[in-house]
Parts: sequence; C-alpha cells; structure tokens
Amino acid sequence: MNNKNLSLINPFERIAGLKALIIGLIIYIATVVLGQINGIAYPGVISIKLASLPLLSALGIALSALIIFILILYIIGRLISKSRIRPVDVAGTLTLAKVPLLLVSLVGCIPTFTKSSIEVTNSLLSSITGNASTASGTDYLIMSIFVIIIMVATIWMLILSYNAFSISCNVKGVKAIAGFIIAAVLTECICFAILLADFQGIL
Amino acid sequence: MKLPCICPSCQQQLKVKSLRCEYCETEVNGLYTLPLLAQLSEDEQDFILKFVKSSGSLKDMAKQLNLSYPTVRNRLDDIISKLNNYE
Repeated sequence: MNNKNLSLINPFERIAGLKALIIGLIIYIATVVLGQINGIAYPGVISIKLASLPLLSALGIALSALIIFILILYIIGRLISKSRIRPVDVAGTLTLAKVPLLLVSLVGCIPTFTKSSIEVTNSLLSSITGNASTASGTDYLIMSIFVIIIMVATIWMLILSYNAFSISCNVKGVKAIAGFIIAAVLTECICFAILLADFQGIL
Repeated sequence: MKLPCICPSCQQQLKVKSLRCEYCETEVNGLYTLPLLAQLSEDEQDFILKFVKSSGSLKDMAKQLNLSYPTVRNRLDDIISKLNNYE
C-alpha cells in the first residue's frame, strides 16, 4: 500500500494537534448542520439516527458525544500509555476522524434517501402501529443503498478513530483495542443516558 | 556500505572482532560490543542525528520531516525503549 492510500485510514502521521482540531471541528459542525437540515442526527460514537431536532440540540448532542469520547479515551490513554500525551493531539485526531460522517450528511441531502428510509421504517413499524404499509420495492432498495453508505462511513470513521487513539496516545495491540472498545461502549451508554434524561424532562 | 549489527544466521547482536587503520595498517583484534547507538537501525540513527541537530525540539523535527508531533514523539519513545532494552 503506498503512502497516498495509507493517508485515507491513517492521516494522523502527518496531521494532529490544533490544526487537526480546527479542520475536524469545521467539518464536523458542517456535518451536523447538514444532517440536521435533512433529519439526520449523530447522538453517539457510532449512532446515526433519523431524527428531526432543533439545530442547537443537534449540535449539542453531537458535540457532547465527541467531547465525552475524547475525555474517556484521554483518560484510558493516560492509564495505559508509557508516553506523555498531549490533550490537543487526542482531541484533534479524534475530531478529524469524524470526517467520513460528512458523506452520510451529503447523501442525506438527496431527499430520496431520507424519504425512502422514513417510508421503510414506518412500514416496518406498521405491524405495531396498525397503519398501512406505504413503502415500495424501490424504497427498500434506496434505503439499502443508504444503509450501505452509512455502514461504509461508520467503519471508516471507526478505523480512523482507532488510529487517532493509537497515534495520539502511543498505544498498540490488545491494550489499545480493549481501551478503544471500552471507551466507545461507555460513551454510547453515557450519551444514551443523557438523551433519556432529556426525553424524560429530567435535564 | 551499511554496518551489519544483527547476525544473518541466528539474529543475535554482532560484536566487533577486528579494527584496522587504513593509513598505517595497524590491526586491533579483540571482541568489542558495538556502541549502543550503532546497534540501532539506519533509520533510527538518522532520526537521532536529526533530533540532535534540531536541538531536541520535536516540534521542529515534525516540521522538518513533514510528520505530526505525536508521530515524531512516538518514534523517539520507541527508540528510548529499544535503548533501555539494550542496556
């Protein structure tokens, strides 16, 4: 694999720190805003949901999830790494790792994809709600394509996030993988708890 | 010509048996351990040279090598770990 290809899954050998943080933040905010316009929300590490949220809520949820993930990975990195870790490197690389999600927001700008996804979701819920199913075969096909795009973007984002953690904290192997999985699961749980508390009016 | 440091047969550290002066043909024989820095790979030795020439600034090194700061720091930490193992 040559260096050009490598940079798609590990650009952090060349870019980290404040530069990565600024670029990553601009792209991530654009991702969330574009997503919000088209009814897509990013409430966790790997969560991508069809949801109509006010702009501030969408930004708040997405940024909170990112900050929680960065904090947990920084703490885990401090515990398992023998190197000195700069918080700006962890924050910058992990923020930049979110770039693939822009693909999801851009595809979501094509109304067919979100419309078909909503139709199929309603159709699948029709057995519970008692409403008639209105999704066509084309809707299922379009939603399948959308799901594949989301999966590709999510896997790419996860690979980038792991490489970001590995490079910024200088951790490799089993410890790094276990630490990353723990951080991802913890972040999802905390984000879910926050959303639930918000939904129930506790927050 | 590159100085070999690892035995191609059993992968153990090579030692220096003979040194020769090319001017007066004096030959010194013995069994000398290679200096720590000479036991590192060519890339690692080159890295250390660049590190010294940058006055120990990882930031300047990162700019020079067109690499990120954590990448340069990680390479230095790997070399430090290797040297500690040799000691």
